[in-house]
Amino acid sequence: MMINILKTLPWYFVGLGTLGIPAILLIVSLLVPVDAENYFFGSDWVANSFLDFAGVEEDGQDRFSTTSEFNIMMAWLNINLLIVTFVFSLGWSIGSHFLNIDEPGKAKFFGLPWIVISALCIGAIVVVCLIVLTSSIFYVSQYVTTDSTFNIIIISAVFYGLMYWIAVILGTARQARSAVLLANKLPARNFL
Amino acid sequence: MKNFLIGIGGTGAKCIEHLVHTCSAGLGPDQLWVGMVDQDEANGNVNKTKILLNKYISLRNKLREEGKNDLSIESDLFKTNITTDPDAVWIPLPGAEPTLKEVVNYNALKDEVKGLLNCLYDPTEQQLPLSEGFRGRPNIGAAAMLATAANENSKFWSQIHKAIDAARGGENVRIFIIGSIFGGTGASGFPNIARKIRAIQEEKSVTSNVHIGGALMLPYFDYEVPDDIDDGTIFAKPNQFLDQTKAALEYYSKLFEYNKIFDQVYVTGWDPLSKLQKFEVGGNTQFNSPLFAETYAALGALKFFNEDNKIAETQEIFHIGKNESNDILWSDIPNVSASLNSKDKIINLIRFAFSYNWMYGPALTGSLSKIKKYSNEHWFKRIIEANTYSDETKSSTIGHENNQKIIMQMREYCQDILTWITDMTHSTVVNSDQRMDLILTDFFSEYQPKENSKKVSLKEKLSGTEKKEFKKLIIDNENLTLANIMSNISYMGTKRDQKGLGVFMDILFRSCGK
Repeated sequence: MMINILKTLPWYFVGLGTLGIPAILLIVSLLVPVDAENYFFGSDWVANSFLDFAGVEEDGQDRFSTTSEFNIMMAWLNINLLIVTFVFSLGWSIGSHFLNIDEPGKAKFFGLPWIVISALCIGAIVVVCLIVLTSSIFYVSQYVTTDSTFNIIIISAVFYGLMYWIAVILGTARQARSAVLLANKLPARNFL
Repeated sequence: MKNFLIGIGGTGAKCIEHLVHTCSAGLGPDQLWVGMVDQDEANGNVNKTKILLNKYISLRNKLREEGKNDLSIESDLFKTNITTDPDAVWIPLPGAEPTLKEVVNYNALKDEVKGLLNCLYDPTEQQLPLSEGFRGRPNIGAAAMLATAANENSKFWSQIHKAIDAARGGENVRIFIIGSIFGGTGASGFPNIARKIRAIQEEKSVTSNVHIGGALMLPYFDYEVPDDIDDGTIFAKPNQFLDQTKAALEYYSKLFEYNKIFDQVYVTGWDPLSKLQKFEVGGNTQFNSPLFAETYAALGALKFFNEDNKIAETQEIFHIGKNESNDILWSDIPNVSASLNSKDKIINLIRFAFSYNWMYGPALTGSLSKIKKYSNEHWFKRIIEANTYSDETKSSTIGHENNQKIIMQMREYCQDILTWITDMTHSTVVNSDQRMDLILTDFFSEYQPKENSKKVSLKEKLSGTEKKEFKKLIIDNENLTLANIMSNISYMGTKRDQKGLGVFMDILFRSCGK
């Protein structure tokens, strides 16, 4: 069993990495101190998309420090979302090896547990977004409008949901692939 | 190396049954010719073994067809190339109702010789119809066997002649004989057939390369003789087994002392004796159950044939037996060699038979449209579809007649394995204080000791709870579940020279191992 899990894990990380690496790059770009000379790293492009600068100025807050704070909030949000996605996808990928698939044709019956776990993963993503964006942990969260909050939740749910799905497609135990949406369309080879 | 196995009498035939199963588990040599000797032509056990041999050979040939369905040369499943002949049962005295009197042509004998014969055999023995064997009378069997020539026209003896010719050509030839010491055919055939072989060897002036081994079965079973049996009927009487054994052993010890007939002899028995539930004098209704002691004889033969087994100059006698307690354990099964663990291989085979019979065999049986429901599953795509794909039809040929035949034959063979181990588990210890702690059988089979030919009935289908019991199937072993097997199948790599259904069969077999 352990050997089979170890055979699957590299593929799991390939799946996770397809969107996980962009997510890490985003987090790094958000954590780098704001430097207007670079468009991606340490810039205010994320803040420009979601922050209500009118409100910031109304409150007499400094635009530069608010942007820095917002970047840090978004970085923490993404770190948490990445952890949630990692935990759920890795949990499923390893857990799928322990499913009681003891005869041909039984894997598809584990489609329902997979849907439940996937829904829980999306739910956790939404909850994390709501906690970060609507609580007072970061004071800049008050300058994120309802529309922006909604957009961030949707974008996060789609992005991390997709990351989770790609990771589990490649990371699910071979015998359990019929339980995961479209995973059984993968070619079946000795190495995959 | 050329290997030959001769099973004498009902016991010999039964031991061959064990040997065939152990060969299918990969414990046997690369090649083996099997022949039987029985005066009781219609004997149920002999016929059963003949059928089993044919099943093994047919299935092996189909699964070792290069480029078509090939298990690969490295596969342990059906490793031994067993050959036999439909006429490979040597009947020392053929004919409708031969009697000893006819064999020795009594009426044409001189009066002095007639007198000697009358001293050695009472009139009932002289007139005894021998179509159902020597009925536990080795003195009749010995006379009958020595009276018949071992000529090359007989399919059985022609193989022995060929073997000795091969030995002259420098090939190493090993011949193993299995027989019981307490019956009729076995006790008379065991030394006499070996002596006949040595005589042929002498006749052909072959002085080396021929090694003879033997498994001598001391009493290991008895039975209750029904009250309604006629007092005059001659048959093997259990209360005479020990006396007969004593006398035979005394004779053999003298024989072995002066003549090196056997290179290695494996001696085994069973104490207390296993109780056979149904008594039959002989004929096609004599279906004695497989017993554990016979496995010792089969493993002795495999040890003898093993290339690691070095034959010494002096005659060697080995004793095989179980531990002294009443529990029969896996540790009581000896290894064939340092590199061949009998327990692991037999466990592997039992698990394979179980999972094939109830899980994979049924899934692969039927038309392609029925089987196709698994076509999205990894194991099916990688192992079945990829290896049975036809470029002509652009689809898998798994539903084709030839492949379906193999699938069905394998299922039948797996049922034979499960029946064999279940029957042995129960029949060895029935009505005794002994316990067979090898496998759990109750959840997949039913054992009816009073039945004659079909003591074991396997369940047609298993419930979810029964399938979960699989992990307890093998007592004293790591708990492999059916889910583990499915997982192993999905990850186990294929071998380069494997083809067709051979890929699946070998992967399933390996998946059921350690």
